[in-house]
Amino acid sequence: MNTNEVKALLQKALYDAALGVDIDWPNSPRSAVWPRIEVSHISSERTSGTLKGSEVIRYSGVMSAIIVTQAASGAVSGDVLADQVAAIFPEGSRIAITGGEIAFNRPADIRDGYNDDGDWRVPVMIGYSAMTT
Amino acid sequence: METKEFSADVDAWIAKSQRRLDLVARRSTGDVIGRAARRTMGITRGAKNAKPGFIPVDLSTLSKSLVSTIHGGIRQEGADSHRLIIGKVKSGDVISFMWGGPAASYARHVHYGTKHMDGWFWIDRAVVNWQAIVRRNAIWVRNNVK
Repeated sequence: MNTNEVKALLQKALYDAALGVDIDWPNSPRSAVWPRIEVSHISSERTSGTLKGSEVIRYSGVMSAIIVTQAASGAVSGDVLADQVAAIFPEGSRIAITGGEIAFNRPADIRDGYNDDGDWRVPVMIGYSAMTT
Repeated sequence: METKEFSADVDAWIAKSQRRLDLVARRSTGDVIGRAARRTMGITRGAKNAKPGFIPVDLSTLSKSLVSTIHGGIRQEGADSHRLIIGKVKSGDVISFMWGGPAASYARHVHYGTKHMDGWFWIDRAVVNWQAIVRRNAIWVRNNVK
């Protein structure tokens, strides 16, 4: 199981959804347009699959997608886009990877938005488990 | 007589299982919140970039804003408040830890980031390890609590 492949496939799913907005990928220059999505990744330590140990490797992760819209334009557009991003990764869905799969065992978590120097930012946290099969 | 001995064995087994569950819950909660509460020098103190998984420290206002509660009742405040309630945690308890409040209303900005700064994500970076932490503590309890 390749961590880079996991991240790439998650980003591809977001890109393929063609939401019609700019996406700032990790470690790339940030744009200044509204609306846009800022993507970053959080990964856990890896574990074996059973208490007795096995060849099954799994880890949990979160893809953070921050929805950025213009502040003082109402929260609706940010919330609508947040819902659209969350809908790309429904609870119970899976993405196949080489030698394993990515599973979404809970709905994406849409957090409260906040005002930031002209931006309205709504975090969408997409939790997943990646494991060998 | 045999029935009584069997009943006593079951009672002892239940008590031991409950002790083990409580210990896994207590150790795992302590590990995950202990990881979230780690602090490091903030950007205004000289750090060059965000160090994801840590709470940046300038005047410690943010780290000291932690409020820890069990069932919304027992409540402790302060950067190390989690240590004061971890010892009371049992499996099934509803506990909460929150940074921010009026003293550090910018907590959300620091955690998720702004247009000028990457997010530090200290909560999500700790919580994402929950399964690994529980698994490790379950193994520890199995090997050390007889």
